[in-house]
Amino acid sequence: MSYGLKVINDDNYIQIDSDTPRLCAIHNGTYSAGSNTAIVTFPTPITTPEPPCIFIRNAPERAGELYDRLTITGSSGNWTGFQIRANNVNWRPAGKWFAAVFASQAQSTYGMRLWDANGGILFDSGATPVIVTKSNSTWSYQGSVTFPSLGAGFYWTNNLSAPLAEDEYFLMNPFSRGVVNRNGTYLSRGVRFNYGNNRLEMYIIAFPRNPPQIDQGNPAGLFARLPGT
Amino acid sequence: MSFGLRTWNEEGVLEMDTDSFTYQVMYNQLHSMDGVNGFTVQIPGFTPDKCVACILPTNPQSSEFATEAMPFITQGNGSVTLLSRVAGSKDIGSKVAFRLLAMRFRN
Repeated sequence: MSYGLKVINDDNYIQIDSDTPRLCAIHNGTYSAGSNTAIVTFPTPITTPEPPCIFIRNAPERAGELYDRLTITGSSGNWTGFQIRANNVNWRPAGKWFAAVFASQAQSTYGMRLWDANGGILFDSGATPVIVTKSNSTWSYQGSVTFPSLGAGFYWTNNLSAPLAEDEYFLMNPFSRGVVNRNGTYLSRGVRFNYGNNRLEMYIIAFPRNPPQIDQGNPAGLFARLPGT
Repeated sequence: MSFGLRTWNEEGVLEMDTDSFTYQVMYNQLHSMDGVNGFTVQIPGFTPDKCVACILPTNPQSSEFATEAMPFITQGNGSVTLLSRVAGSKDIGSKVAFRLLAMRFRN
């Protein structure tokens, strides 16, 4: 780096600089639904090529509900919103969300704005970088429970246990869809934050005679704070 | 703490403190599982205890068949591996298009 700004804190960590894009929150709000699908429209489209990262905080009073699908609406360069579906027709997804991308945008009329060498906005006071809290992508298989009429719910807990702060969220995109079973069938996978044991949990719905593989790899369990929400 | 950046939003809420960490992008590329059983992406400096890799599907899901399922991901030192189906299976696998994002969250 030959020009610009670099901020290094006590831990020798580069908080922001003029070279590396940071994950920045663009929009935030709440979601709720009259069916098992919550539909959110962004106040303005997000114009990045890549789909935004959707962070959610499922409402503690509806903590038992599992989300098995995230659909980001729109297309590359024009992402207009998202939908979250719960795995049971009687569930009503509710909670808070924010959308973040690896590019900032001019949102604020005061504060600080940083550009990279190509003129792209790296930092803007109105779209501040998302604050890291914790991340863990390892999971432990717990067993199965009966899912009425649907077979069984085979479930895993994330190996990181910590309370979810009021302004803290987890990334939903890695759990956008179900998984492939060994016999080439599709299995629904639901995710939720369990406030009882302070862990992310994922459930895979399958018939006991054809259970999912115990090793489900490393889907990302990733948390972030959006202060003031 | 004596060094670093502190920022506030319009309501005066402290957003970034001097001990805050931000997500730094390390790798950001489009991929597709269509026609491939799997591949490994080399990401220099990637370590699972300090970095994380995420799959972001780029299209809406069109059905509940295996071809529309999430790829199987494992994260290791210096690389991330994606498989279209669970290890050991010879059957149909995922064909989804997605963006693979790897981020560092700690020094």
